Amino acid sequence: MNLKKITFRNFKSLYDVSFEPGKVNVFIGANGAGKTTILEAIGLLSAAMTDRVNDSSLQRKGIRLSAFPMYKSRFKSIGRTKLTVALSLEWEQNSDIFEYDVHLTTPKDKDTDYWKYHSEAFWVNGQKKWGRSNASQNQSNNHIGFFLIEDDPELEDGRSIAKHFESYGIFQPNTLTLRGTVADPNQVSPIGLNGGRLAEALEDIIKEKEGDVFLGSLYMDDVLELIDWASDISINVPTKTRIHPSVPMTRQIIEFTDYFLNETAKFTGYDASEGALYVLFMLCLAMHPKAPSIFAVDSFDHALNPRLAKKLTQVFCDQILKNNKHVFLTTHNPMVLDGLDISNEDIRLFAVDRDKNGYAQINRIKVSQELINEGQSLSRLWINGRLGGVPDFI
Amino acid sequence: MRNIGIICEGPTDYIILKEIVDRITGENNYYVPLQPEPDLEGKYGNGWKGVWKWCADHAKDRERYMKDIEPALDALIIQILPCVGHEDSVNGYIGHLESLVGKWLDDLCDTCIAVPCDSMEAWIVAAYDEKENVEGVEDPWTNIIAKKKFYHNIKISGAKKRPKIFQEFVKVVCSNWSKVTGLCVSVKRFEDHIVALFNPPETQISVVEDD
Repeated sequence: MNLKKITFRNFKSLYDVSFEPGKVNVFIGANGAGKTTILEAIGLLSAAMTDRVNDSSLQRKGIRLSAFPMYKSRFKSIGRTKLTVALSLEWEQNSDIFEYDVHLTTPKDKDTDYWKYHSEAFWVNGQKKWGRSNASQNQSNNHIGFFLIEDDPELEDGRSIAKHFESYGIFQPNTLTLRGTVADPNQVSPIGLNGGRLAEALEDIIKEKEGDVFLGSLYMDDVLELIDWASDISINVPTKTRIHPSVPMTRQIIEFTDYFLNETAKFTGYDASEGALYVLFMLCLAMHPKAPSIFAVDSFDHALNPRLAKKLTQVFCDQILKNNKHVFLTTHNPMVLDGLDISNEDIRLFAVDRDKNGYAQINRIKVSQELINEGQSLSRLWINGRLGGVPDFI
Repeated sequence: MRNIGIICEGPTDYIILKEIVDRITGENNYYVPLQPEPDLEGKYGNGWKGVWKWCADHAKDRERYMKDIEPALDALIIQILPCVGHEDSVNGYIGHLESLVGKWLDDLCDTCIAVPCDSMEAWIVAAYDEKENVEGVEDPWTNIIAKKKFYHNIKISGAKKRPKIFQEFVKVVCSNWSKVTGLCVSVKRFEDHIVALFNPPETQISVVEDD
């Protein structure tokens, strides 16, 4: 299954914009350009297509809750606010092109947080196969999506996307949750949107095989090249010798052996560098078999040294492609771009900029290999302004 | 819609240029601010030296820099200001600077050069005050716009050129466009260049040399 095109209309700064994703999709742009809004709009589409849209379903996906009128585009240039938020997803499966369109109205009544389905439609190879709208006779419940529950054989072929798309979430790890001292407010299995239960998720994918230790499909030694001060990583129960008694702790903890310390001087995720925890978190998302196969990470580069950011990007991309996942990332770190092989069609870079009306624009960036070979790295081109995705002038 | 790279002397010039080009072309173009270029310390190389440096650095790879990266750039707009105290006519120094940029870049294909008078602010004064011979006024920012705390009800805090102020100014420049082109030789010339660049009769003419 490959996502082909995503379109957003009238959602916050995404007034009318679409893009064609690959497997790894990286968004760069000035602060406030609309990068996070893109991740949220995909989450809204996921909720609408596979469930329903209300505060709870949005929060589960890591979407910020806004005052209801603020979900719609409120630009000066458009005058009267449009009635619906419109979203569309196009995907390819077994040589067929499927499309799902949905128009939603935001809640108007203070007593309900349910968004209403104004219309839904499903297309196969350009032909409309199913639809519902406010005008339909059988509009029995306009608070839930019918794409997955309608008893219509025309929908069967397209529904398999739901098992990939329904668990979409915007991951935004925070250090305290990764360390295990703060509960994850958005805990989902196997790993929370803020990094909760990282130790348990890692334990699932640490395996020993013929004397070699693996994290997912990576040799642990390769992982330890990213965390160069550590000589071993293991998952254990907390002990008093490792953790101060006044520190709250989870049932399972990550233990690191420091390359420079003696063997018994292990320490836990509570004391470890946050960069190491972010690395393990990202690898876990990319490799854990139960982690979502379509997901987003906001501020992918958080807490990473520039060189580590570049290397982790390379390893992360490899694993995303290997595990046939789709990921949407935002970053402000130029070195992340140097870890992207954008000559590979599955790895795509997008610049997000506002136009003169304030509407977010999404432009795919391509750079000829000749230019890169001449020393024009993506990081340099971005800093120099040539790729867009920068504030005009600050 | 076209993709246009802008090489200019300062941040406020960029704001003016992109809105004016939209006004001339009647399109909502996509702009890439190439100069002033932030270096890794976060400083800008403003002024004519920055423009000259950009042109010198990109003379050889200009076409690849424009076309080998998508979205490819359809055009470059280069803005440069004359030095203070020149004694040429407006047309005279514009022609001189255009030919100078032409020499820096070697090739001016897909390139338009904007040479305002002493500063872009003269275009703003023309739009607001409809002042004759405004291109001959020395330093219109200091002597007219920032002379008082308010300029046509727009607050000029600390006499500093703030981008947000210029975003307001340029709206008036665009709405009074025919007056501005009538009052400023440099604006009319720039408009003619843009029209020629984007709507070439047969071959593109980007620089008009003086007779």
